[in-house]
Amino acid sequence: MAQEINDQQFETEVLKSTVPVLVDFWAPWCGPCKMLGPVIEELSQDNTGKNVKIVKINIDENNEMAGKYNVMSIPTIMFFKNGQPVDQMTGVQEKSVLQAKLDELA
Amino acid sequence: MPENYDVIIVGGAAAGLTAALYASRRNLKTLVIAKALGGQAVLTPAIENFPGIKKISGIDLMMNFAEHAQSYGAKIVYETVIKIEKTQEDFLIHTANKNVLRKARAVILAFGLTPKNLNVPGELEFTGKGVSYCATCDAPLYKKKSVAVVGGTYEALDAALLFAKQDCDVFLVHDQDNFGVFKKLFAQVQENKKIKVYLKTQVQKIHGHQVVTSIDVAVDGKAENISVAGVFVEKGHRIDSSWLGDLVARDKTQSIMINEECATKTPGLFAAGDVTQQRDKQVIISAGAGASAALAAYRYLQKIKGKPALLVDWQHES
Repeated sequence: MAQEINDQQFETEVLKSTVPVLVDFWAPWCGPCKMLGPVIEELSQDNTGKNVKIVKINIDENNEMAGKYNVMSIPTIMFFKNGQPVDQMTGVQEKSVLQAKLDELA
Repeated sequence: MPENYDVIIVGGAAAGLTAALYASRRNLKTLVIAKALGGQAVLTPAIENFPGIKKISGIDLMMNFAEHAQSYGAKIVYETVIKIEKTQEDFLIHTANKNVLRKARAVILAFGLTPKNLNVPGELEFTGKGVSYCATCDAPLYKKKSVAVVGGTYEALDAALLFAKQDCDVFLVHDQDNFGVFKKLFAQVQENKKIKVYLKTQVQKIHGHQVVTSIDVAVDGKAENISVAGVFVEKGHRIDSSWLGDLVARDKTQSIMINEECATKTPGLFAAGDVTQQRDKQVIISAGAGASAALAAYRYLQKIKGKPALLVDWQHES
């Protein structure tokens, strides 16, 4: 399961992470976000034990980080490395595209 | 070595998932390749005309479709098909994932519709940074901000009212002088003080700095700049089948032409749902078409194997 985090955990889990992190900004009202859900779960399983981390943040309950990083469309996938956002994608993405980005950052 | 399937279905919404259910119930080795599940249905908060279910969200209905198909053995992968190649006996299916090549004896095209773009400078650059194609997804992120809704569709009117409810200043921009049959909804929009309607107006450019800041429009030929934080494109949909090349015939709307067996002009290649000339774009109709396409594919596979197409629903008495 991809780890669900909140605004308070963002610093520890994402910004201070020693490995690259994929963050899925989503909300329960958003159909495409829910459709992306299984893709993120599969990605999470595929990368178990690898040098990357995959987390989800529900922006309905946690809007601070979404605001800070200018999330204006959901789903938004952001990639962080060494505490910095290094890439982002909006809308539903296919698994191989996300995996390729993770492999590039790892 | 390519992965082998009896049927590969391109698209994972009402037509594709129903085709997957029917194909897997005929014991065909079935794969659905979809960028994501659910298609346009997932943008619908409530579906109230699917027989047997009085009310259900589009997401839940589509998830049920997917689970139902999977329960009979259909497999789903999340990729985008970029090319289909016809060989002597099979179809080779290429996706953006270059590591895998898949092969099937029959293919069902059910990839639905694609949102229409504005095709103006700034659109691509600011997609996800203020330009959006899903008002229901992103509206809560624009509370009390100024937004433009562009298009003459039912969805455009609906989105304008949704933003007005969120206390946004809404600019509804449409290049025609009316909203056709949606008179009642347009009347509601006109009565709403939060919505300013621009008719006979074209969006010409989207400006921004990291995020959208304004749009240039031409109102009846006269230039104007409107400050907005968001541009919601609701111009309707189109069929993007150009990547199929000569494998299918198309009508003037680019719909894939099929016969009563859901067959395209290429033997073994079937199509169902919104990508076809089917007039009404409804979940129930696409689901029915998906079932027909799967049964037609089953009959086709039986025939090329030299076996009788067993399990017919009825038999005409001569």
